Amino acid sequence: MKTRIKELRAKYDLTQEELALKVGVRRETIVFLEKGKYNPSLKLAYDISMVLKSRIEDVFVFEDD
Amino acid sequence: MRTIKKVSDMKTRIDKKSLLFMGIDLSIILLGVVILLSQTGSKTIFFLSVCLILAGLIFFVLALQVLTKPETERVVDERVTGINEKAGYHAFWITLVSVTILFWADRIQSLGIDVMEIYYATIFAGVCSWSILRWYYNRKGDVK
Repeated sequence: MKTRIKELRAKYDLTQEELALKVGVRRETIVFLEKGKYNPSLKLAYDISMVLKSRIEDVFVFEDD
Repeated sequence: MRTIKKVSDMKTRIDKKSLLFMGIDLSIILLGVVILLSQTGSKTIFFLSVCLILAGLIFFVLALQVLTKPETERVVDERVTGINEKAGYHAFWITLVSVTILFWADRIQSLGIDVMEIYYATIFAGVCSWSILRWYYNRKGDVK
C-alpha cells in the first residue's frame, strides 16, 4: 500500500508530530504509514483523511499484489 | 517557516496522574527511610526498608523518564495495542514451552530442579521474550 501522507502533510504544513497529535497516534505510527509499512484501521485512515482534507482513496493507494 | 524543536525546549507534562504517581514514589521512599531510622536491629526490617527505598527510587526515575518523553511517544494507539497483544501471545507460548522443557528434562534426567528455580526461569523467560518481541514487532511496523 502506498500513501500520499507525506505529500499532503507538506501541503498543509503539518509535521509528523502534529498529525500524530491530531489523530491520536504515536509519531512512529505516522512514520510507518508514510513508509507503507503499516496498514491502518478504517477509523485511522478516515481520521487521517479528514485532517488532510482529502478522500481516503486519495490518501491511501491500495495496489494488487 | 517550520521550526525544529530542541531537546531543551521540550516541556515535562505535569498532570494529576503524574503528580499522584510521583507523590506515591516519594511516600514509599519516606516510609523506607522512617523504617530504616527506627529499626530495632532486625535484619528483616532493615531489608524491607532498603527494598522500599530502592523501589521508590526506581519508580521515581521511571516516572521522570516517562514525563520527559513527548506526548506522541506515550500514546497507546492501535499499532502499539496490536504489538503488545501479539508479543504477549507469543511470550505466553514461549514461557509455556520453556516450563514444559524444564519439567520433562527434570523428569527424564533427574536434574533436581526445585519449584523456585522453575518459578524464576518462568518469570525470566516471560519477561525477556515479551520485551524482545515487543522491540522486534515495533521495528517491523505492522504485526498483521
